[in-house]
Amino acid sequence: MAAVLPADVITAIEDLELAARLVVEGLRAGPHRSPFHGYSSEFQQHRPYRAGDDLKYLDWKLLARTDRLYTRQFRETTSMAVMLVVDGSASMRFPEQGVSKWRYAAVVAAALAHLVITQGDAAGLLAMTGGGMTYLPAKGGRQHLRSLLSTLDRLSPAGRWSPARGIARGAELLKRRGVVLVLSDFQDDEAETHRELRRVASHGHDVAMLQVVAPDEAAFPYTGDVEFEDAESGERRVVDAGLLAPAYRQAFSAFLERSRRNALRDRVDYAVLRIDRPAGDALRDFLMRRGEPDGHAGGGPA
Amino acid sequence: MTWLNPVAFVGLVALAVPILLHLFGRRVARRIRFSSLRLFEQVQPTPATRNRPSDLLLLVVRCAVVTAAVAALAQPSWSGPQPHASRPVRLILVDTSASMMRLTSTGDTPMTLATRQARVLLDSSSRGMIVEVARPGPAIAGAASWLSAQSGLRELVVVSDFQAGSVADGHLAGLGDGIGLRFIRVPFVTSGDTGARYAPRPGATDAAWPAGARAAGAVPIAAGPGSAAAVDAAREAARSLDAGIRAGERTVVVFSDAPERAALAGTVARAATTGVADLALALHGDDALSALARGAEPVAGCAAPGIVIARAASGAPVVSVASLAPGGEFDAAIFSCVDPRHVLNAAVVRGASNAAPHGAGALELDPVTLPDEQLRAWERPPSGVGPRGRDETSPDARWVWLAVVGLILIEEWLRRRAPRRALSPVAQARHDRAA
Repeated sequence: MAAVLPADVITAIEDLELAARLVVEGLRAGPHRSPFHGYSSEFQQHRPYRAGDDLKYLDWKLLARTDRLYTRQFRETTSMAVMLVVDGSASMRFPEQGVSKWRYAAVVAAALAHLVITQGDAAGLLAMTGGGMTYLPAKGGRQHLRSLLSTLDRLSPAGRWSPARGIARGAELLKRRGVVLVLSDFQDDEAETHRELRRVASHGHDVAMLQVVAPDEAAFPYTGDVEFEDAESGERRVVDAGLLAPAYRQAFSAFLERSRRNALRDRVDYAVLRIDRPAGDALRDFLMRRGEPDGHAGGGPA
Repeated sequence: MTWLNPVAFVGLVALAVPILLHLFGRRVARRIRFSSLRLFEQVQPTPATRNRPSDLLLLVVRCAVVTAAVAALAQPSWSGPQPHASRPVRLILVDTSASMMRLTSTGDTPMTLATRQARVLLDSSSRGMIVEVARPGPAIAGAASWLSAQSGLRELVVVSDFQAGSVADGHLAGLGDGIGLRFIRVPFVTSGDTGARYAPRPGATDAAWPAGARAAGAVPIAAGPGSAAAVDAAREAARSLDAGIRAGERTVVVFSDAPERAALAGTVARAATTGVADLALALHGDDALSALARGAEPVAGCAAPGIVIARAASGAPVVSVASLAPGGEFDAAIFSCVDPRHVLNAAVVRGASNAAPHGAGALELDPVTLPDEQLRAWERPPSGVGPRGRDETSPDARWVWLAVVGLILIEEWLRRRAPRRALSPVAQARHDRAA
């Protein structure tokens, strides 16, 4: 998967490893602070009761069995679980020449996975392509990283995807509250998408919306009569591109603005990833914004 | 404006081609696979219309190209309703017979004058030719044949001295309808023209001539006993004209009251001799004699045997000349049918005195020319336009062809600029109905 991770991306990630850890840990107190508040729910061991321990952690069952007082100790989880939800629909094939949105998203996802895993956290993958779902649970370790990257490398965008379903499923597959990073062009049902993002965020997950945009989608540099074909539905439409361009550009800008506002409203991190921008720069900007005091980017292009 | 080839307008049916191409022609627009057309619905609920102004403009220009090309093929002419009225095609027949070669008093020959006239006519024609013929009449058929094949207005012009017989009704039968005919007369030169002219006193009919004239010479005059004075007067008058007196053939001038008139008339030969013909020619060309004759009245019952030289206004012959049978005292006689005292007789005597032998090989026996009335009756203006020649094109058509080239360039420019469309208007309408 070395081809997926260009050297400049790797370099940027390596530079950002500490910063990324800080961004994540910035949500907790101190380094590796868990995004969860209080003890983790993962039981670790018993220890003899000492005066001053919180009685709610006294193991009464063990007392009944042994007539001895023991306090349950929980392990505070310091590893972060990140689920990368990647849009593998046909719309991500655009543009067909050069770097497509899918390729860019795959690079970013791989970089994020690498970042997460190398810093000791767990990363998972959920990609929807051709109506099917490809899933890797959030795990850590080099082995898993390689597996995740190779899975990403194997996938090819096709068909349609349901962002709500993908986001929901990705969040479900996180066994505990974690981070859900959604990489997509979000050229689908906006209301449903934001509703699901909002729902997942309300469940305690840290949700980030990384909107992948191709320059031609924003600039619409077409003129004359052009027959456009929808990559997902196959619908064709002949339009006077020259006449349509101003209104289309305005509509696309409004679409991005809506996405940003909705994300901000729902306390979902938001970033626009332009595929004509180096992925490393985009990640850096995104992660740097996440490290800002408000803890949420909710900003524009990364 | 007129059209020299109006049948070309049938080509306007070609206008259907650009119209059909506009309605049914299909050109493939470039196809782009886009990520999503979701936003297209928001900004343009219906597809773009097919009939854009540039398409219509292209159609108009293409129709204009076809129309202009057809108009050019139809050979427009902006010269006016009758573009060839003043410039017909002419064939000019110039008479080159012997009488056309004699010198006039100015030193030119009728032939020279005729040629000059012919060139002026040719310069004013759209095109044509000058044909020199010794006998204009028989040449008219060939001329008519050539003119029939020409386009535009056509005219045949005959330039001649129009001696009697040079042109006749039969020669004109082959002249087609629509071909104009014109006759231009050049002066008929008599063989004895010395330049002397006799201008009688107005109203003078008697022989009271001024005295002092030289002897009239040896011209015999046959007159009645009571006309001796008239004869003398005639001789005197002839002398006063300072005419050269020469001895010619044995010719007698016979007055109307000459007792030997009947006897001499009885010896008139059937055919005129060369000398008599020459004499007749000379007398016929005598303007003074002709003028006096027109004002004279013949004596009742007076016959004028032989070749009639002059006639009265009523048409009755008053002067004739004839050969007499060999063996007599005279070889030729000039018969005068007017009163012996009439001044016409002086002109006759003078003419007889001026008669000179005609040159051999140039004899034209008939000195009478066709009257102007006859020529005017035959003449007719050109009418109708002949068939269009293969090599004829309207010079005005080149401007229309230039316009065709300009329109083609405009069409090419518009076609390159015009956006291509996926569906023709008809196909798109069908598609929309299905949707």
